[in-house]
Amino acid sequence: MNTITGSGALPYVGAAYAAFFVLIFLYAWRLTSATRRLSERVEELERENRSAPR
Amino acid sequence: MVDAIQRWLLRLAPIPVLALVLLSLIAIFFWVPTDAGLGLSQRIFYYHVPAATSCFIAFAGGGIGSALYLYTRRPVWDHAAHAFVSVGMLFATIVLVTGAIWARTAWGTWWTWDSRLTTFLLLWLVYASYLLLRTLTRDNEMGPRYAAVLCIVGALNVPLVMLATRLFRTIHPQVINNPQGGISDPRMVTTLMLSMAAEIALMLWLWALCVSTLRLGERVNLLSEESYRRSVPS
Repeated sequence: MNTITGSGALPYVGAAYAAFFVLIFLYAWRLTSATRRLSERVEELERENRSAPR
Repeated sequence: MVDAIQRWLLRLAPIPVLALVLLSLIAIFFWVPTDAGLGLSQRIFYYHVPAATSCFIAFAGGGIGSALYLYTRRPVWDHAAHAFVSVGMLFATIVLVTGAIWARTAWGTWWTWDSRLTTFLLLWLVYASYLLLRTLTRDNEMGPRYAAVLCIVGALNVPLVMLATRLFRTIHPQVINNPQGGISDPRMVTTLMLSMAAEIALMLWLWALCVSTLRLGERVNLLSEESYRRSVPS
């Protein structure tokens, strides 16, 4: 087997941790931006519904 | 109950989550000794194993939420289950990516059709189909019910993945509860527990954020319908 030992494994360890934080960051960023966009839309619709004649 | 837990998590979780993640990284890179057999690449394990545990907890939570939704038909349980699957898939993807990177260093290959890897990939595919189903049945009122059934089927697969290293022949390391070759150094155990706490806390915080987004999406749909009804003369 072509295994990687010693300091040769360092880039792989770095890549694994980088992958972890990039994926977490992208997911959290997508959720927070969706939450902000939806909150604005809720406010907008509530305003519209309040001002619309019944 | 889901509402209260979600609000509590959103308010209180960020600082402890950040502290736990920083502490676990300090322990992994500056405190824990290097494994004699696997060397430096063993450090991947401190985030790979907790990511697997977090995704199993999330998928189990999704199964429970789905069962409660089918029993009560309350949307709050559907949102809880949907958010658990969404976050579980994030951690399952992390498990696949970090596992492949570790496999390249230890086995000399990115992927092998080992029993643990294959059962885990099947689990990932079941939940990928769940998310696809949710997207395709967004306007179908039966969608959440179909998705709940699929989510329960996926959750039933979790014990099979967990026991795959004991039930089938495998080359995947068994590091926890293994007297022949598991971790024994107290610093390694402490670091693993710290990383486990950090990732489970992170998973719960992301779950709370996801529930909040799903609930806002539902509120937008309700308000849009109301707005449409008002605009069309009866």
